[in-house]
Amino acid sequence: MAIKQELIIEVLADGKLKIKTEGFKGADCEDELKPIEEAMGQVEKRERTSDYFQQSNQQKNRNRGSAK
Amino acid sequence: MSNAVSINVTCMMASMKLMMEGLTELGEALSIEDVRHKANAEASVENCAGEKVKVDYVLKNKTGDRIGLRANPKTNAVEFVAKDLEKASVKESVSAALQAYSRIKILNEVKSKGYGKVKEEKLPNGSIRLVVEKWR
Repeated sequence: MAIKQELIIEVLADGKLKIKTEGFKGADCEDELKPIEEAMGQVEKRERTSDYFQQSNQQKNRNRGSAK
Repeated sequence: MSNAVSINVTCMMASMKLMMEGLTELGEALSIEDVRHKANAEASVENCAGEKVKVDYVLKNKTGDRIGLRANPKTNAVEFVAKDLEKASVKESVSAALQAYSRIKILNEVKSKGYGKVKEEKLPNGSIRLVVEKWR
């Protein structure tokens, strides 16, 4: 199944960038971002969001009150 | 059949400072309508010491400030030249140029990685929000 991979980019008023990844598995997102970071400039901050650590638990979020 | 579960993982967030290097994307960025600047090649601008400095582009803003841009021959880093770089209207134009450059550069970069732009919006805080995606 095809998976959508998304980058949400914020170009701040002074040209600085914030990039958030969505749809990547584990360390894939780091591999994806690294060359982009290198091309763009100097990384000030890099943080792993909680989802990074929950890769194997994705299923947990799946079923939520779908009854109608 | 159950509905397809879309994997929606947010795993990394990076903040970075822009490195403005070379003039490749600069011309394209400065010609963007939103920046409202005029760029002319082959010109000079007065610096804070009153010396004329040869620059690659000149921005002229509504206030009438002249701001030069040039690539440092040694480092290739882009430098801004103006009589008073601390003046508010100058700072504003420098920011606008940096943002336009940053937007073009990141879009070109992610396009080369196979992404397509699906959304672009201007936020109330002056930021530009871009959403790009690819399927694999």
